[in-house]
Amino acid sequence: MTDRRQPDKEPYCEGLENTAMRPEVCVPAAPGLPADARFSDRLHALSFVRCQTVGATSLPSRAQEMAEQLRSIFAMDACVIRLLDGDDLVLLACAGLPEGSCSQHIPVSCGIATEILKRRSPLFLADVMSHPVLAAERAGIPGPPPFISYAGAPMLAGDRVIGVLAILSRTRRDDLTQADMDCIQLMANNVSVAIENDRLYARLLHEHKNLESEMATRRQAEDEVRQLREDLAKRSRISAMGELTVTIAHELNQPLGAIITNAQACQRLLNRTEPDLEEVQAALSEMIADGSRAHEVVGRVRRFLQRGGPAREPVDLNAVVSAIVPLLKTRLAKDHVALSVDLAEALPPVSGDFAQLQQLILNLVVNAADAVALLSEDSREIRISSGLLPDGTVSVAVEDSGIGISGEDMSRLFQPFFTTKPDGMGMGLPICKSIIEAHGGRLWAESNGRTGSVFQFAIPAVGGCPT
Amino acid sequence: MNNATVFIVDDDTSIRKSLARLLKSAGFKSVAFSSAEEFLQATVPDEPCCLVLDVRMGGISGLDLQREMARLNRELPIVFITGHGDMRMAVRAIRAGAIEFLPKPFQDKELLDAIQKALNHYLAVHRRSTTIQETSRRIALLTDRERQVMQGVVTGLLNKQIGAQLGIAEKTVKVHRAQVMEKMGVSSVAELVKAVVEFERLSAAGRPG
Repeated sequence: MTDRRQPDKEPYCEGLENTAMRPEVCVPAAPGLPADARFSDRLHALSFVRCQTVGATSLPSRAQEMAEQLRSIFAMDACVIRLLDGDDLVLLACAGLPEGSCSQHIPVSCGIATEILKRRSPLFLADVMSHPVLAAERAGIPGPPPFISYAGAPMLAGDRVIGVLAILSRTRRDDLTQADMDCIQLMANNVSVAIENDRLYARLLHEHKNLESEMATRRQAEDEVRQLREDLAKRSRISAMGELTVTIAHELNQPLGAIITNAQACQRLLNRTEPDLEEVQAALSEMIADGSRAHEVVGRVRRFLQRGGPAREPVDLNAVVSAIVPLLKTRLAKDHVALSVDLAEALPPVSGDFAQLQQLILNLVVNAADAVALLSEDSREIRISSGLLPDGTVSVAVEDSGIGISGEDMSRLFQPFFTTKPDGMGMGLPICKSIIEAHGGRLWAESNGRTGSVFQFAIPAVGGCPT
Repeated sequence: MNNATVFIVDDDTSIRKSLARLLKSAGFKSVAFSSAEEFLQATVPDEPCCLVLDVRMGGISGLDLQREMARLNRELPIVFITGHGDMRMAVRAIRAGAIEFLPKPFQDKELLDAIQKALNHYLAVHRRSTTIQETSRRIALLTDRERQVMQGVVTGLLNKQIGAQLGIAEKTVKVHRAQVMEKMGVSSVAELVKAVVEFERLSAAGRPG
């Protein structure tokens, strides 16, 4: 392969009317550079420039490297890359010239660059002074022009010209071929690809940042809404419990008060010298009625808390756990609590109410989360496990890495209104217990053998145990 | 206090019945009402009585009934009973003149003591108003001159001094004085002084504010 092209192929100064302006066909290779080596160097440069079209470093520094590469591959004195910005050509990179010697802005209306922008094709001038426009521009300026030979190409991005790439020599060069000019055009195009990539990337980055900040704002808003909703739910739960408690207290106090008053009346009636037994009888009948009334109130409360008693259907406790794990994970992650789940395989189903059992596990996990809340973030752990117990019951255990339960508290754990939490209501575990009792199961708590505690419930498997 | 009546107002039948039985066992006559409205329609006898009143009732509450009775000038000593009284309610009730504010369940003795206290209060008020009424009736019988003479006697002036003050003869003062003693139903100056002082004291105490 040779780069010695036939001069009749294509003139590199196509479009110039004055044929005298055409540079002389450069047949010889660059001094000391064998043709093969030049070709391979061009390929190398091309591939280098191509690699530079995307990169981690900033565009100006990549452009600078591309300029250096081009200058050296064509053995020229300088390489200048300028970007079109309105009516100016702004310097992007400049190789081979001392810093500051190349003006940052030049108007598009003067110099060789104007010609290239007009032509939208490469231009080679073995002697810049041979171009009439340039010669005219330089007229009156003393001394020789700083550069004699010039090869430039428009930087094309699609059908737009976004700048000009040029290599220049202080001495006259006749050796640039059409292939060289093609190569320069190709490189100019690659530079424009790099620039376009960079612009695109910047825009993408900008949009991504916008999107990210939008998403962050949105996430924050969602977090706030969720927090609000939780607070509201908690508050309404507390207020509902508060009202319920007042109502229950009143409903119970009335018959209890009547019973006490009647009993006291009986004492007086019996202490008389002539006891009024008939009145005592009446009092006792009323006391029995009031006792039943109090009992009925308690029953109503229980039924209310159980929402009319659990449904009875085969339930897979593993499925119950799995169904709330995502919910729990979200909630626990917020408090930096690590949740691990360890479910035994092939558990027999139990008979019960899916939703109530879910509520039960949720309550136990929430309790566990409260138990670990005071620990450092890396030691907050909750483990949910399931298994088949030797007595044929299916159990679920919620274990925490908390501080455990004192013996005294352990005995009162399931009593209503007993709580160790500053804002607790003492209803969580009693509700759990009433749910589990309604399922014919049992709920208990024990130490996990380390610092924490395990809350575990067990329900008879369907068909396996007496109901 | 055999003729005393205790009114019970409570919307809970069990409470009403048991209270009536307790009061009966302690020797009190009681009349029970299931609402404030019902009680307001009843005639209160002119004999020692008091009210045992539940705070929380459907319709007019106990505290509202207390206010309404004050507005109607039908005040009775009230013993409040409540299933879930808070401090604010109790303070409000006592400020408005309640005798006692008992949270349920209470000891029978607490209630009976409070009722006794209420009846005593009734009697004291009753006695005071009877005395005021009686004395003012007698004072109304006096002529202007007799009232001036009585004023002199009560402030410790001698007949001669009273005569000089009023510009009448000492003898005439003596006649007026005898009339005052008779109309006021007293037999000594000491009794007269006591009656007038008591009247002034009670009248002052009875005045609002």
